[in-house]
Amino acid sequence: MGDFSKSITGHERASFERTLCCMLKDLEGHQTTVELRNEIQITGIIDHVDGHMNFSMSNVSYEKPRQQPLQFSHIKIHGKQIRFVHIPDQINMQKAIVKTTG
Amino acid sequence: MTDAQEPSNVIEEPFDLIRMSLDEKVYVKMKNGRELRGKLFAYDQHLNMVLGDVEETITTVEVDEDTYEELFKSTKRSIQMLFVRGDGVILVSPPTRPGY
Repeated sequence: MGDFSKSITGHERASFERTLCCMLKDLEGHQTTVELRNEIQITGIIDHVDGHMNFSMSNVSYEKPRQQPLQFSHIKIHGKQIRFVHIPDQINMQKAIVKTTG
Repeated sequence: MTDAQEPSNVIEEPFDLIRMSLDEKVYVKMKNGRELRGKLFAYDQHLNMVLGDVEETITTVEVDEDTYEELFKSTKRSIQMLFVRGDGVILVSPPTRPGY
């Protein structure tokens, strides 16, 4: 998988700095659950978040409602498809927000 | 958008209303019959939000095939800390007072 994290466009950097996306950056390396617009719940470790809220995750459990979860070693999620991101308890909210807005 | 660093108490635009609700309990109506009630920690211009101690209510309407009467069902669940993507949000409001 090519390392696209180095080539960040100006538009994307602006997206990062002006929205709450930068707070999602703080979640990198943590395990969490992402809920998509189509009710699918994806639980795994967040590898990378970009300015468009695209996620790449590893060690993923992909669960459709009322179905057996599938396991994937790696998955890429399109930002527009996301409805919720569960924030793990370990994240100190105050610190994350101050870091991003302050 | 003003450059003032100190928070002002004047409500000039709709975002100021949301700014007033920071750190307070809010009611968020979302698409697909979802409602959230939780404490507003952060928001941005897209209405991406971070809510704490959230209770999500999903309401569905089922129509009985024989009687055609509408059955409203709702499911609730609680999440400790939730990031909500703004494009699903319809409205944000302080919860109805008193008593909430």
